[in-house]
Amino acid sequence: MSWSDLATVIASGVLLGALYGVMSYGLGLIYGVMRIVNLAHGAMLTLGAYGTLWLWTNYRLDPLLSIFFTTAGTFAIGVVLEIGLVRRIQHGPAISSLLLLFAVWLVVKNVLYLVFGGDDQSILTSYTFDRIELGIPLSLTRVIVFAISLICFGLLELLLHHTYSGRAIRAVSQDRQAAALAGIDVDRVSALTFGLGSALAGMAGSLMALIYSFNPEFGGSFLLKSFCVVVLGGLESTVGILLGGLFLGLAESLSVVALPASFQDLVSFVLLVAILVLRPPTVTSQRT
Amino acid sequence: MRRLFLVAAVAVLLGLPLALQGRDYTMHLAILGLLYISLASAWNLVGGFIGQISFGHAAFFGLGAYTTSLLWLHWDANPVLTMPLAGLLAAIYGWLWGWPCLRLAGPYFAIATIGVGEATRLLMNNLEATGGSSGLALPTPDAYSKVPHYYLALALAALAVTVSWWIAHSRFGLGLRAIRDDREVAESLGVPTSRYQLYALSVSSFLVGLGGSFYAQYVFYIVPEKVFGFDLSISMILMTLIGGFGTLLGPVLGAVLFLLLEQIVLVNLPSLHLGSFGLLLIGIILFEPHGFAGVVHRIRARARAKQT
Repeated sequence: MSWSDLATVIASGVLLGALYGVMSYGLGLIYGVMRIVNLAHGAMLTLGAYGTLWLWTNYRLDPLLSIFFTTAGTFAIGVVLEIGLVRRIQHGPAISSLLLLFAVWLVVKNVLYLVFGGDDQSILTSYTFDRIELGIPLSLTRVIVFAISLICFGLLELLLHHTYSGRAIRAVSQDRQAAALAGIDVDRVSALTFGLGSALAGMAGSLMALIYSFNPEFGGSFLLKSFCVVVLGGLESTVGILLGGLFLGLAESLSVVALPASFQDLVSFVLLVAILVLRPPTVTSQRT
Repeated sequence: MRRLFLVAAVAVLLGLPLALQGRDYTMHLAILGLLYISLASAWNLVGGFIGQISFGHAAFFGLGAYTTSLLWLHWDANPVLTMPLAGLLAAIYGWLWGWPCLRLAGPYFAIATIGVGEATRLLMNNLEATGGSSGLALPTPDAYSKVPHYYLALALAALAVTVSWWIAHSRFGLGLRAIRDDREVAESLGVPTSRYQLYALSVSSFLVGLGGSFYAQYVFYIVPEKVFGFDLSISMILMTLIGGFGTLLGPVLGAVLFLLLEQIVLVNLPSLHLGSFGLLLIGIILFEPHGFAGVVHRIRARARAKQT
């Protein structure tokens, strides 16, 4: 393997890594505020991808513009899910929310199978195969996705640190009770967080539709990758999650050097279990 | 009364093949039902008794199925005799990843099991030595009766239920329930929490491994997507949830109900298969979190209240 090959591998890992960061952020956000692992995360990713496909085939809307619609759509779905389902079992054991959200995923998958069928779908725009020369040749769509991911991180940072809602989200994730005592409407923050987390997943799904082909099962492996990034990067900081994403992106693309390509997904699964085991997250199982 | 009921149930189950002579499809359902009972009861040992939700039990099932198939294909071993080995390998596998993973609490354990299960499936899908994604076809005998399979499945189900019963009524089972209620308190009361959890997972994976081994002997054809499939792990969770977590009767009832539902849905509405199970799951969690066993329990309590 020559140096330029290695540079390409590293570059593609970094480009992918930022997307992984955006993809995982919602999962971490929801866990931070609500102590709930959102197993419907994969469903939101898939919905984002199929939403983009639908807008593209029916209205010829450019995938880059459809991001706004899919993000808004998944935000609404997330808010409805929180108010309609998650809130009702808030005080039950952790298992209930896990299984409930998993069930949502099953339903979404089924709806997608019914509407779009089980075939692999892809979106081919006029610029899908374009390349851009930045020292090394890079896929244009991947560079665009990278740029949008970074912008998204900037916006999140602004939202969480410089708006009232963002500060409320951070306060609730630090101490739910104290936040409530300070006059924060915790229920509203929960709904907002679930919506925001879902919207981020939906947006990531839209971006993925630009570079991957997908089918209704598509969210599954990315759900695991998101876990992996969240556990790598920690729940507290935007930068941590971005770094976690970059790490996983690099690890995956570098794995191609040593492993057959079909084993690429294995990297994240093994990494996930290894981190969980080596650095067990401090779980406050019953935080009241 | 209770004993009488038990004797009657055993008699019916033993005599069932006689009544079902020539009705192959019903016989097939009976065998599948018994297999499901053993799987759900086994899953319940970890998911119900300790409350650690495993999304990766298909790994044990697949391991059992592959152990028997490979020994049968390459060494011409008698498949029934390979069953203990299949169970043992599954138990060792359970021990190996259970040892680090069981320290994780609640959602983290569940996530780790998704990782383990998917990694195992992916590995088997790509491993050329075991046939890769196209799986293994086993020698189909010329003369073929379902009756021996029925009794083998009955033995499996009986074993799983008996083991569950024994655990539920032992000091060990008491310890497991203490862990479920509060791990730290259990630890402080002198329950060896890590060891107990590991025992429970090993027993559970042993039983599921046996189930996988049986499945391979029964259908003569295995593919990783099926025997290591995520759907299989989910089925075990669903069966137990429908019946009722952590009870003895729950997994048994749940497995039977699940089988019937599965058949109805697959025959009539194959395209709504996933969604109907999803909606069912949502309904149970919102309205009857103790499953069918909870309903039975309530009816019984009401009847008793009426008597006095």
